[in-house]
Amino acid sequence: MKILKLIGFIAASMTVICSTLAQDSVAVEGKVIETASKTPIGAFTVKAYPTETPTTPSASVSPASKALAQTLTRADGTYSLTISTASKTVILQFEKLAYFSVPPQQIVTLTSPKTTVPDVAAVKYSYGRTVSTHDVLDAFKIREESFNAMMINLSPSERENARKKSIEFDIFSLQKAGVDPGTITAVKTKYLSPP
Amino acid sequence: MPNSVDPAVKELAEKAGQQGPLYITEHSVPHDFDFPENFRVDAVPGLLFYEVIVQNAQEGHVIAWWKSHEAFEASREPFAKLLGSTAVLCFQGFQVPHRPRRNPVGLLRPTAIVAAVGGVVALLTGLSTLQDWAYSMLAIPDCTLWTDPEAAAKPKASGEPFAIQIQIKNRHLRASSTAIITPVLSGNGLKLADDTDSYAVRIGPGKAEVQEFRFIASHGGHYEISFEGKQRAGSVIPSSEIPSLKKTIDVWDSLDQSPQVSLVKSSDRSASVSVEVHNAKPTPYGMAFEATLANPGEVDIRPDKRSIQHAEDPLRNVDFALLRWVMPRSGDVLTAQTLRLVLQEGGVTTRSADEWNQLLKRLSVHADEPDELSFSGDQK
Repeated sequence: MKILKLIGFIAASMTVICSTLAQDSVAVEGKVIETASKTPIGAFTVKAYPTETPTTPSASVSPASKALAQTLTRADGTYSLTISTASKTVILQFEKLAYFSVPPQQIVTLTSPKTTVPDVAAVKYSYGRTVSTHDVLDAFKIREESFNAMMINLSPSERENARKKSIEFDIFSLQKAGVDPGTITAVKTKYLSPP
Repeated sequence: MPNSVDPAVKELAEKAGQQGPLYITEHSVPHDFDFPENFRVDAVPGLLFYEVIVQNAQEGHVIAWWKSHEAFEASREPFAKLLGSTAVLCFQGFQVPHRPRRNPVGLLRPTAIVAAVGGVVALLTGLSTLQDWAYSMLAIPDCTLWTDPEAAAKPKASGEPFAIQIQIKNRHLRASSTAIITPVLSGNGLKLADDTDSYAVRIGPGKAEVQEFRFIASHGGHYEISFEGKQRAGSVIPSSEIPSLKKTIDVWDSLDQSPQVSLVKSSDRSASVSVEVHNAKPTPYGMAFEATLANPGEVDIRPDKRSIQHAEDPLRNVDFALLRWVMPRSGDVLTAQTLRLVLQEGGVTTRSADEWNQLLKRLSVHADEPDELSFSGDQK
């Protein structure tokens, strides 16, 4: 009888501990899709870095930073990172050899219990060559479709504002990554110009 | 007294015989016989000269040379008296002129030798010319192709021209041959580096000529080159194919993006895997690697610390296991570099070497130069 009580106590304690931990962490979820094939690409490394200035687009990963969490994308391109709620925002970085992700870095504001991130597009490229403008435009299309799907509950004006802000963040991220000005201009022309 | 005819007497007899055949008689006499002291040859008509020789202890012989047979017959009796009653005529006959045998060495006079040699040379030259003419008309070509296997086996760099020297050996020892060699390339990516067309090479009898071909490959891989061609020797013999020479060329990319993996050794729960990197150029920025195992189960990919010092933490989910690492810069050119990975089973599954090899089919290693866009590397 005493043993059963002890087991019950341990089980209750574990439940409390787990629920506390669950409340203190956020699941960040998303998907990585390859531009050329429009199919999810697996085995991408997704790393979450801390950032102190959540709303500033210039926030970047310090070379000395250590990832808060990292994971691999599944075969269907999806990923899920568990991050402590101690961080209000994180920078997500997507890495795979010979692939350039659009955006290269993404600032994510954590919302408990789950934060969904718009799809990231993976552009295949060779070292020493410029990233194809066509592929980058294609990547922005993937981003836009994903963004529209996520913001379906917003009003059209709110959705448009959020979309523009997201694209501006992405473009800034491309500029920081050193993408050539011609490609940046092409993206701006296509996705930021008034219809 | 001598026991044989004195050579001086022989010579005298030969000289006298040159005028006409002499007549010789030989008489057996006692061993102590001799002519009287006052005996003179001219006392016996027809007698030219004589000699007394000792045959043995009991017997002597008198040999007499006569002017002619008739002269001997005329003086036979008085001469017999001079020899005594015991003398017996034991031989008579004409002296046949002695014909000395011709010494064969005598024939080898310098002029004769020169003439003989000249004749032989002329004969041989004539035969050789005739033979050459025959070969030039009828020789069957017999050329072979060869290349230095060690030089051909060395890896080549993609994008850079490389040369292969082909030796064309004419195995015919009498006739020259003409050969035209053409390299036949298989697969895409390999081509001749210059536009030089194949040209005819003339090879002397038993000689070899070297022809160099330059190629360039656009990307790494194994390429097969077949050196083929035609050969011709005799003018009336149709040209024929030269036995082809096939060579497989190993071309390396500047940076080996797909290193080959192979199982080195294994136990039931872990395996050591070799990653062989073939770079044709130095890597001044080092290299970044990603080893990805699909459907890993409970298997993790870990670095072998003796060959991989800068690795990130291994990652694994249901679909993939991944290890990323960097290799320091290297100045090695066309030299294979070998790294080691360890596949570690974290569950309860055990595997044989064959099963590890099956699992290796799901392991791919990708390499590239590291850049911040696709490989930041974690600071530890």
